Amino acid sequence: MPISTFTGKVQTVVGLIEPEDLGITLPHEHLLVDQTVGGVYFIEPKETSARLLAHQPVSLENLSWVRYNMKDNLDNMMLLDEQMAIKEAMLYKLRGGKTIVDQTNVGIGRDPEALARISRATGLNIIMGSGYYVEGSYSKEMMDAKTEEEITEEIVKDITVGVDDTGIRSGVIGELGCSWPLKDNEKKVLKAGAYAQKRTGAAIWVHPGRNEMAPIESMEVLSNAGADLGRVVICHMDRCGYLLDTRRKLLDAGCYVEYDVFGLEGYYPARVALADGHLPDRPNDIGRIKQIKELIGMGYLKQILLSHDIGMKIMLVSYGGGGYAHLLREVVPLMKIYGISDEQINTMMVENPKRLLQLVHP
Amino acid sequence: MKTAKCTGKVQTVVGLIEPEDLGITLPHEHLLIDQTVGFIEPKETSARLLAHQPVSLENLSWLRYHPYENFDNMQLLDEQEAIDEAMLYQRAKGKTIVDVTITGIGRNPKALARISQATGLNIVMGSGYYVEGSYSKEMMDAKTEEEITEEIVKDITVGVDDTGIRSGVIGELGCSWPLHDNERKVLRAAAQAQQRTGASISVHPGRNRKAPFEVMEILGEAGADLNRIIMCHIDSRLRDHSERIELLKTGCVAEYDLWGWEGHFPSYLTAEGFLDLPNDTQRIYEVRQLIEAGYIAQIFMSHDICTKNRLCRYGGWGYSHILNYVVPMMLQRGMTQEQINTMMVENPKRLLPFV
Repeated sequence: MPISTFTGKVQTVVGLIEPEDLGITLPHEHLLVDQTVGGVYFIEPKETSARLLAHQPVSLENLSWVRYNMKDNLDNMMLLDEQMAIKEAMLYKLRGGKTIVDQTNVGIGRDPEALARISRATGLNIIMGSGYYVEGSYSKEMMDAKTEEEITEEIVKDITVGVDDTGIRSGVIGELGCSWPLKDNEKKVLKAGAYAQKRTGAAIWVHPGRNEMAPIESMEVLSNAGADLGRVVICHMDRCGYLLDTRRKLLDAGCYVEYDVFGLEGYYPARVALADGHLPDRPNDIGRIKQIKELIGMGYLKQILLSHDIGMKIMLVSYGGGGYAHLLREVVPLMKIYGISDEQINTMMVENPKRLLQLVHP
Repeated sequence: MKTAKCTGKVQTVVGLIEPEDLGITLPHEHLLIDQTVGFIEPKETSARLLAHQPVSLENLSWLRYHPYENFDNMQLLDEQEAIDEAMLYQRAKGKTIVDVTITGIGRNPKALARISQATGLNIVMGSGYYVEGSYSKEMMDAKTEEEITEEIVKDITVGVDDTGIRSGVIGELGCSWPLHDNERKVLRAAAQAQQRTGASISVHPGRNRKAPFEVMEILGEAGADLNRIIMCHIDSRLRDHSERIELLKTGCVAEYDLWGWEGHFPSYLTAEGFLDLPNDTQRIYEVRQLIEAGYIAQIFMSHDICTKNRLCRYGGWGYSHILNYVVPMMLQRGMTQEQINTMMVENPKRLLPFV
């Protein structure tokens, strides 16, 4: 499909729409996903006593344990239930949500047909991802064999023709996964993402590794490969308690910073700690709001995005979590109490996503 | 009466014990409680169903941020559930729980004694009165300070009602913001009761940063021993390090007792937008700062479990949260086992015996 036909429009899983039709948007979610990532995130426990808990389905009986050992339960790490995804997404729609960007890509369970069905069932606009997540989510041998050009072509095809033979097209390049230290293959994927951005005009979402230096490293790889940093989103700015200085470097380079784990208020399993021994001391929602207020005060309002990155069962309302409507139900009222205006909230939840999701002239 | 028999010992619901027998102690919990005196019927029709549903997986999401807008959530009435939940703490090597549930919010001495027998845990029971909303204002208006003092002294030295089961601590005394006259009267009576019995006082200050200081002033004027006062809910009331230092200078214990509650305070409960709560890692850094400033002997740690959704059986964090999750986090962040021991064993050992 000629790229010129979708310049200025947004590519959803059921076709092109006008940017004006986006409305309130969550720019980083997963409706269906497999986060087990080939033994990187979920690891078979050694102790016999832990194996039962690791393989039990999530239920009220083990919810307390799973909340604190979230990556040690296999069932928790997968969202495979389409009906549940529809039910959960509807809670977001009922509160006024209109669009969800599903950042699930190759290797963590991207299912274009299912996303199209969920879109039709809920009436929500759904935008699909492309590219590759962290190295654990694919075979290293397979990716070693691919060239940058081949990966670029894959992403371009996903956006312009469709994923595999579904004809269902991606609308963003992401979430491109990075580990710490950055793997060669991940670097290759970032560069391919930058080239694909040039060819398609789509925006890039980057999942940085768990280290203070990781976001800047990813940004530099993209920049050196010619990416438009003004159309790059650095995700999970609230996951590791990054310093203000780090955030400002990204923002001053033009990137968007995404506060996308609203609803996860504290406990982070140390097993998934930053590779250099640095513990992930993330803020709670109030802490996020204060950081955002600070950034708005410094002039960065137009570069801030908000989301939940729902990706585990315990984050769903059906399992006691905040779900896709958490921002609208709990956080927006809180923001208002803390002095963020309706207009500023609108900028972050409507205008900023709109600017990114609109495919620009390559 | 202050007798040689009790001095230096700790009063549990099954009898006196030596301070050495306390071990790891949670100084502020509720095993059984009925907070529904504080329940407010919602106005919106759509909220009424939510308000009266039993707690289940279906409404846990809602309850996480609206814990006091559901009637069932505000009651812990199931003795077996309390035993099961307390056993998780016992399995994690906990030894003592101070249950600060008092008159008006469901103090149940016989049940506490049974729970103690069933679990092998030491349970210390509270005395005194909670916030004015938990009793009839007329009733309290009619009581004199002396009458209230006598009640507390009797709870500690003779037993609650006719159970013969004795309280071991004065608290949690409830304060609103602004402070009601009756609440001031109870504080003053408590100071007198402290002098008579040698028990420590635990106070739930009003929801304002000035409240802890107001309480210390009133207790001080009434002759309380300022070194044997426990100021509860510091993680909610004092969000500023310098304010916490100011409070600690008065000599009281600063109790971080909301471990596990990592979200924000429900706006439903406070008119002033008094919503800030730290999460557990932030609590750790705040406590570390207080230790570095030299105040380790004046820090207490607890969870204040008081709603169903905080119990493990309802997906919450339960009484073993500090031992299972917070202690490892503290050790990972540069604190020592000795420091943790001071806060969880030595400090309670100093404050729980009668002096």
